[in-house]
This record gives sequence, C-alpha cells and structure tokens, in this order.
Amino acid sequence: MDIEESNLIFEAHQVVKNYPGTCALDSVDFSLKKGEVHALVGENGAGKSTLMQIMAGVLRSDNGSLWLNGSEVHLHDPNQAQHLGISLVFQELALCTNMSVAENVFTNIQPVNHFDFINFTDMYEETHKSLQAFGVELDPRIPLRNYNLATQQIVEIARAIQRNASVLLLDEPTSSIGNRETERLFQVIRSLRERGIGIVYVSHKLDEVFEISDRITVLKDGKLIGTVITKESTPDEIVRMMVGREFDKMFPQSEITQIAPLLKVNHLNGKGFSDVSLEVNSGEVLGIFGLTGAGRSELARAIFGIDPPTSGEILLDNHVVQITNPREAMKMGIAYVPEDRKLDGLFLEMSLKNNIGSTNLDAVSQGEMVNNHRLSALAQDWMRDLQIKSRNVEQLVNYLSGGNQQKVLFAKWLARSPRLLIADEPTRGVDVGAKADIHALLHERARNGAAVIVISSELPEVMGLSDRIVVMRAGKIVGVFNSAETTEEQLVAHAAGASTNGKHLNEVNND
Amino acid sequence: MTKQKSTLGIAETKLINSDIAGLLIRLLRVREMAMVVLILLSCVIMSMLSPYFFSITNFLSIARGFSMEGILTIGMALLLITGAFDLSVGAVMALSGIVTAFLIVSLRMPYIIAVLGGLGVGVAIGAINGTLVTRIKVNPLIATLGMMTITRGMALGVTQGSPVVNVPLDFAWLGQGNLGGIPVPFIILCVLVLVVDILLRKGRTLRQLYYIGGNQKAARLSGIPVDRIILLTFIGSGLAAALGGIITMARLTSGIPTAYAGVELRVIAACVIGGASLSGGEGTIIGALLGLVFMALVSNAMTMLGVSVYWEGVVTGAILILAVAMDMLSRRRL
Repeated sequence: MDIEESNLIFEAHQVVKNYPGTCALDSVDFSLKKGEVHALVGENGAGKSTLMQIMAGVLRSDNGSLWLNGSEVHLHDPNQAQHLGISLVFQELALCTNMSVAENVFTNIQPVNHFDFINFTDMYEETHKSLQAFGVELDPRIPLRNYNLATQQIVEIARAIQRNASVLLLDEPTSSIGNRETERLFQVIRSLRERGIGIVYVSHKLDEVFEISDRITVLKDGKLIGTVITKESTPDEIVRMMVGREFDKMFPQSEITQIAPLLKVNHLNGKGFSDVSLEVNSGEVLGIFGLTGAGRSELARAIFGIDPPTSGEILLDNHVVQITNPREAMKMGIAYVPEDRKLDGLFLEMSLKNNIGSTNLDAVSQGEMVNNHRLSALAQDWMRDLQIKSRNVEQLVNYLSGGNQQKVLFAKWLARSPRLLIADEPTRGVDVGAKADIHALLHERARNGAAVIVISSELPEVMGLSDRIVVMRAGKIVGVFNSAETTEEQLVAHAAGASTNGKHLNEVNND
Repeated sequence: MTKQKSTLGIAETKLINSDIAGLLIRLLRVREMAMVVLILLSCVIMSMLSPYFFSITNFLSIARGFSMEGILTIGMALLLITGAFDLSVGAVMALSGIVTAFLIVSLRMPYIIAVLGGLGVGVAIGAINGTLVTRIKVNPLIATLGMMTITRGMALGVTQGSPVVNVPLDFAWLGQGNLGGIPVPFIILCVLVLVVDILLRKGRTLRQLYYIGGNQKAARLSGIPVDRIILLTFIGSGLAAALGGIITMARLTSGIPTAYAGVELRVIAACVIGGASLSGGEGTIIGALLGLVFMALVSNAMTMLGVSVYWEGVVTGAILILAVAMDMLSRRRL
C-alpha cells in the first residue's frame, strides 16, 4: 500500500465542475502512477474532456484539489501546468505548421549560444535524437506541414517531453489517424511508460484501451463509476459500466403506418465512409449510431450533396439520382440539419425571421422581390408552432438560448416540408425541455409520412427515437438492429469495436 | 499483423534522402534566391536594351530612391509575419516629417531632439494601432485605415495644406548626402536590414513572430506573450515609418503633408512579392527588400525605355498578382 502511494504522481480529489443547468463533474477522484497508462472512458458528455482540461489547467474546477508528487497544486493556465510537467496534447493539435519540426519541439525554449542567438545546430540535433527515441525519423529542418497529422501528433508529444513532462494527457489521440499510425503511436506511448511518465489516455475505442492501458476509469454523467485494472477486466464489463443506466421507455415509439422505401443507398463510397448500403422508408425513423469520426456525418453530407460520393448509387423513390450540391438535394425534398448549428447552421448575426427565410425565399417571394409580410408571417407561424422563446421574429438568433437556436435551425428546414429529413445530433447542447420538443417534432414528421434519419452519439436518444438503428464504425456499417430487439450494450460494443459475440469486426482501414 | 517500421509519407522520405541532389532545388525554392535570379535577369535584359542602365550612377540613384520605402518595408514585413499589417505608414511618414521640420525650423530645436520628436509620432501612432488591434480586437484593416485617415488629417490640419520649408541644408545631408560615395539613406537601410534580418532568423524574441503568425492559439499555449509582441511590432512599424518620413523630409528639405499617399500598398506589395503572406507566418526581411528592389528596377526600366510613368501601376500590379499566383500554384502540387 505504501509503495503504491509513493508511486502516485498526479491525483485529482473530489473534483466538481458545474455549468449552468448541468453538473459536468460530480466529486470525481482520479489518480495516476509513474509509468502508467490510465485510460479514461465514457460516453459523450460523461465528463472526460472536462476532467482532462481541469487537470491541464485549461479549465478551473469549482471544488476539489489537484496533487502533483504529493503536494497540492493550483493550476491557473496551461502554461503554468506545462512548467510543472503536465502537458495536454489536444485533439486538434496546437502546433505552428509553418515552422520547422525542431522549432515546434522547442517553441519558446530554444537553446541559445552566448550571443543569445538560437543555436540551430544543437536544436536540430536534439530534435533528431528525441524523435529517434520514438522510432521516428524526421528532417528537423523542414516545415512541419510537410508531415501528416499522425506524425505531427508525435511531434507534439516530443514537444511535451522536451518540456520535462512527467504527466502526459492524450485526448483521443487516434481519432484522426489510421491503423498503422496508431501502432506507431502505441510504440511511442510504451517507450514513455518505460521512462516513468504517467499517461492519461482518453479514447472511445475500447480495443485500443485494452491494448495500451494499465488501468481504466469509467465516467458517466459526470460521476465516477469506477476504476479497474485492465488485465482483470473485460470489454463487456466496461461497456456495462459506461451504459449502466436502466433504460426507460420515455420515448414514444412511432408506429410504422406506411412502408415504402423512400431512400435507398447502394455501396456508397466517399470521404470518410466506404461501401455503405442502407434504406429508409417513408414514415420511419432510422437511427445512425457510432462514435465521433465513425463516418456518420460524412455519409449525411454525401447524401445531401455537400461532399458528393465518389462511387455507388443513391435512389430516391427507386430512381437513381445524382446529387452534386445541396441545391439539388433541396429540390428533391431532402433537408439536412447539421451537427454544429453555430458553424454550419445559423446566421448568428441575423434575425430569426431571416434565418428561417434563408431556405424559404422561394415560398415568400414574388419574382425577384421578397414579400416581407409573408416572410414575417412564415416566421411567426414557426415561432408559435415550435414554441421558440424569442421577443419577436426580428430578434438576432445569437441572443437566443441553445435550445431555441436549435429550434430555429429546425424551423428553417421543416418549413420546406422535406420528404427526407436528416438530423445530425439533433439535440446537442440543448436543455431537457427543448430536447423533448425536438424529439416530438421528429416523430410528428415521420408520422406525417416523411423519412427521418437521426444521427446521434447519445444512446438513449437513438434507442428511443428510432425504429431501426444502423451502427457505424470506422466508416462502415457494422450492424443493423431493430430498436425493439437490441440492447444498449450491443450497440456500444459494435460501435466501439469490442463485439461480444466473438465476431471480428476489425477491418482494414485502407487510406 | 505485420509490424511496419515508422511509416513516412513519400514526400518525407524524398526530402531526407536527397540531401545533396536536392540542394539546388531547395535553394531555388527559397524565395530570396528566386528573387535574386529574377533581379539579375532583369538587369541583364535592361543592360541590353538601354546603354544608360548599367552604370554606378544609375544604380546609386535607384538605391537612394527606394531606401526610405525600404525602411518602411522592414516594419511592414515584421507585421505581415505576425499576420497583421499597417495602412497608416504613409500618413505617419508625412506627419513625422512635418513635426521634425517644424521643430527644426520654427522652434530651432537641436536636430537630435527634432528627430526624436518625429520618431515619437511614429511610436505613438504605432502604439494606438497596436492597442486597438490587441486589446480591443479591432481588425487591423479598420484600425490602421482609421489611423491613416486621422494621421493624414492631422498632417494637413497643422500645416493647413502647405509644406514646412526652409529646413537647413546641413540637415539635408541625412537624405541627400553620401558617405564614401554611397547615399546615406541607403547605408541606414542596409544596417537596419542586416540587424533585423539576423535577429529575425536567430533571435528568440523576433522568432516568436513566426509562431504567432503560424498559429496564434498554439503560440499562446506555448507561453508566448502574443498580444504584447503584436503591440510592439506595430510600434516598430510606426517607428520605421517615422524614420523613413524624416529621411525623406531631409532629402526634400521640406515636410510635405500630402506626400507618400499609397506608399503603404506599395510596401505591402513588395513584402508579398518577396515571400510574405497576408495570413502570416511567412516571409523574411531580405526577401521583402528584394521584392522592393525588383519593383524599383522595373520602374527604373520603364523610365529608361521611355514608357510614361503613368503606366507603372499596371506593371507592378501584374507582378504582384503573378508572384502570389505562382506561389499558390506551386503549393497545390505539394
């Protein structure tokens, strides 16, 4: 026990973080030993990222304490954390790709000669040595942008090590790299472990977690579910811990009144997904479940013509259609409600009215001229129907709450009465009330004969809303389930690649 | 599963293996070398077309001509590397020249005080620009456009539009004089270029500009005081503009409130031709200066060939667009 204690390098005690309306972390304990890889897992929104950011000094906790090598530390910002030896490698890398490899490794800590000029010879040599220790051969002199993302990630790790990091926090390091590169990253992680560095490894991919980690901590809804020793656990156990809730039937199951395949996709290939075949019927809600990066949004973008597919066919009403841009998709009665409303969905500095008008100008115009009365009336109708809480239709959407913004986004597309509605993470970042409203809305659309595709990372949402569920992983469909006959465990196991029935779903990632 | 040794992309392996063979290609990829080749080439062509071109006198007069703008180019290049730029430099030139001339002519101040006064104008306006951009987050285009208009208005207001004349001839040495046969402004320029270029290549402080221009967020996370450095760079740009303005005033022996309009755009063009990018993170001082030299050569050539001065803009504009277009096309191939 004593030996165990002295081995600890970093601890988080009873960490609490509240956001308006939600408790992101509720009295969470976490500990890291020297030379240990400690995996942190949980569903989206479980609090993994929040905990990581608190441990790296990006966010500050509302309560609780952090202990480094036995003494309490107060982290104000990431720079200070780095000085103390705690480095976070961000999912979207924080590098200057215009600068040379060496200058990225040595940002702000460059070796200098006695004129206080940067000693490039030393810097190149040191960089070469430190990367070589990871089994990576790079030219330290050329700009980092000449190397791919996976290599850049290793440069960022080397940079943390150069700053004498004793604690390394890796946030989903394999989310955007291929299989072979993952293998190389694991070699790097193992060599760091041998040097006694403590590594926190956040990942959705259970097969990786079991390959690389020594211990696993599971978070759910901001609470600590438990910490297990990897060798003594199984993927099944982790999945149960991650899901862990009693599944209650709070969702109205839509009754399939009319069945006719509206959309059929055959062997579709495109950026981020391959060989996808599926069909959606009118009056049906099809759920697409998978982890971030599984290719779900990419598939939706291909169907909507944003990034047209490279091969395969799309059939609407049994007719092959070519959709090369969103305008064509819209003309065919397809609507796509994007995942990121602020980035892809709304015109934040414009009024509610003009946001709804952006996709409905045809309906409210006479020839070239927009009829402002009809536009206002249209917006008012939708504001009332969806119970959007806004002063009036002239309100800038920037000032609405997240839930109301999301409703404006739906109104913008529903006003077109689409036959096929694709909703990507329809309730991300909205409050409980708006969530229920949006769920009801999607059902009502299906009941009225539209085909609805719901893409979501939230299990209860997918399970509750959908008639059928397609699970995607690494760009492919790995299973189709009838939602009445499947379990959360089964879906998570397929999505994370830890299939329980012995069937191997590991496929080659050819990119 | 097959264990693969570290898998590098094709581009990477090529770059490592071709240390000697690729040296020439890599040298030509360096913008400075490309510019030198271009400048030599145009010199050769011009020498064949005009007998008056290839002479020391002509070269020295070209050098004196671009020296003041050259000093401005240093400041502008630094700003462009951080991802910002400064439109107020032309107006700062005018105002600092006027202030210096006024201190000398009307208040009979010692030259050194008068020059410091003129430089103070540049520091003050640079500080305002920098504060607007870093603290209040005003876009550099708007902030420096506003300051350009204000500064120009001040130059016109205090002089009521007429030049400050009668600057003593011994002060004029700063702009008109020679040292060992070489124009004084050109010597000042060369010293500044050498010092700043070396500091930018090897010095830790100025090296930070590239990090900021490359990825501001990453720079901040690496402990670089981003806002302070951008502010100081704006002050540097103002200072360079003031110095250029004072030397020009000495050369003309008068502070002219309406002069140097449009110089800011010529200077930005020179930097971009020399390898800087409006999105930041790229460029060098030598490169920017070579860009300016090239533009000065072209303009000299046109005069020599008897082409009307009014056509000059057409050619410089075309060169600017061509330089950037070539850069974009060569990047696409990578």
